[in-house]
Amino acid sequence: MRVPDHALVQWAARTFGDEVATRVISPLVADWAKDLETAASPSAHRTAWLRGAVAFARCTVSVGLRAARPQRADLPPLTRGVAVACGSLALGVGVLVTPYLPWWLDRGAAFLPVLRHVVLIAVALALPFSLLPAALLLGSRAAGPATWRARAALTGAAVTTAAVWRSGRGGPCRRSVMTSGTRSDGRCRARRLPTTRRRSASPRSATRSMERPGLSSNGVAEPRRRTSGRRRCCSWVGVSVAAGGEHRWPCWRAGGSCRSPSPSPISRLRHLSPHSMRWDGCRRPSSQRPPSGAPSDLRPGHAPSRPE
Amino acid sequence: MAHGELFGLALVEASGGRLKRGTVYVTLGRMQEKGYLDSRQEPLPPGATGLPRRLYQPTAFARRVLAAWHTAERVLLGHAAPSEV
Repeated sequence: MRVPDHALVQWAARTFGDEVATRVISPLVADWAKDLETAASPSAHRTAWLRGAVAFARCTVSVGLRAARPQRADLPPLTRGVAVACGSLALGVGVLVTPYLPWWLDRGAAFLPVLRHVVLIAVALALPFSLLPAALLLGSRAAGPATWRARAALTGAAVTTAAVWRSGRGGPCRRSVMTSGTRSDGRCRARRLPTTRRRSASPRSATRSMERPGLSSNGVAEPRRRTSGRRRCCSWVGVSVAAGGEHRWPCWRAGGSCRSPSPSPISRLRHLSPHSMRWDGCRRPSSQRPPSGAPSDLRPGHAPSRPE
Repeated sequence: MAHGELFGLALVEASGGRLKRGTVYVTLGRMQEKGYLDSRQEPLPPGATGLPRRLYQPTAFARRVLAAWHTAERVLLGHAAPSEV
């Protein structure tokens, strides 16, 4: 098996530049090919091929990491563009969020944690958009050094990995629209609301349901039956609908279980949002409840009585 | 290498395992960039199609730096030796 020496050097020249290909990759591949030629037996040939391949991989990683490292000559235009865009966008988001600060502070939130959340969310929202000038700058220098492309690829891989890692930390509860059903200490509310939703059930569960009173024919618990789901999540969506001079708060259960003990910063900020019902958990004070004739789905703080 | 030209792979074999094959070429490239090494390509025999190997040898500057390093090491060890005893 021969070494594709010219192809490897051409690939390195395209990826890392001519200088790196000439100084580093070309001698490695040449020594690799010479080592293969001098191998006496087939087993020695295989060993030489494998050792050369491992050396090439290690050398490529080393050169790639070095090429992707920011260099002083390249920093000013990139950092300036990213910093200006990120700062402007974060400032805009912060200004938009500022009117909500007194609302949060009135409800007992400490100033510094709220400020920390606002800054964190503003930067998190602004950073992806601020990478756009950097991408445009990289694209406009297509004829520039190959280190730009290596750097862009490494940055993209790092951002993607971080995003996947961050999104994987949330439980199913986080995937609902708003997760204000979790308490501030991270535990889920142990509430199970009546639901008319029916799920398909296997014949085995249907058979089991006939043996247990309180289960419907398809094996699903009756709506009025409470289960032992102490860690059951319910997602409450507060929709501020001005009707008749008062806000109506429809809410419904969104199923799932919450496994993570600590909510993410974004979900914590949602707890503080004006449209969530963290302070009373979808229960509005009795003085604000509408007359009993109101539709049950739109009744303020739709929290039906729990059958015990 | 102080006494002649060597290939990268020969350097790895001569080092007894202290140099790794995957990183020695990066190190040699950086030393060449800093002016410690000179390199030239091995002339290919007529009819050969492979890549030419690269031979490395230290420059005069590198020899002076190495001599200074040895001198400094000897001086520092000479000062450090009495305190250790």
